[in-house]
Amino acid sequence: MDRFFVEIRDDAIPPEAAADFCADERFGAFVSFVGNVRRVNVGRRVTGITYESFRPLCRTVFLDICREAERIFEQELRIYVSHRVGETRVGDASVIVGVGAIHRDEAFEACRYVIEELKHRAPIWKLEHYEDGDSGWVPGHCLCQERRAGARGRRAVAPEPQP
Amino acid sequence: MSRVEIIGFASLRDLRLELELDLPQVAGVVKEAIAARLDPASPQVALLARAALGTDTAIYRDDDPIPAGTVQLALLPPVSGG
Repeated sequence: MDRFFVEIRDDAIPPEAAADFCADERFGAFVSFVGNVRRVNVGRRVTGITYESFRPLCRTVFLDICREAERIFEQELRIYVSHRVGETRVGDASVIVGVGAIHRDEAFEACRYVIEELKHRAPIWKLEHYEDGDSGWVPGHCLCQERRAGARGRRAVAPEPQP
Repeated sequence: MSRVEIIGFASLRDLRLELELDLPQVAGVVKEAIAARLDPASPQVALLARAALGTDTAIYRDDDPIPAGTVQLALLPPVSGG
């Protein structure tokens, strides 16, 4: 069975799917992150978000991030990543990340790593819709230059222990 | 020279064109070729400067070479998923 599940979907993300996928008798920890569409962004009242994606590349990036997480945390993990595209409303889950690991520390950190990398690297865009009828693309993270090392997660940039 | 289709996404979704390119070539130079086809007053010019190029399996930053044989490139403005 694959250790990674990634998808870009047009309908609601089943809330139990991440826990189901990450269940493993060897693992003592499961951590998940749910990103929801929120009512207010930068002072403007939001009615919904339309998500657009370049799907084939997005899947490639999701899987790259999962493999990196295993390498960084030096252990087998089970990782679930599901991201909505299309129209969403306030309160809808736009993304769910789940990580199963032997211990909680790695589960927390790997989950944080995956969502941060996804937000900075996955080819997904938000078109936000406002109560006044206006819409606008949300400013984001540029892919055209190398990322700062500091944005790559706590474990990945932690200094080597000094003797 | 090879013909490459450029397809814009999100804020660059209106941008779709074909270029004759001598590949391999770094993405920054390909972006200059795209910019040369735009109206200099267009807001797309500023968006293009912050965009990357991509295929189904790779993202090309400004200094990355785009390999020979590439026939289609996605134009990827700054991303905002999550």
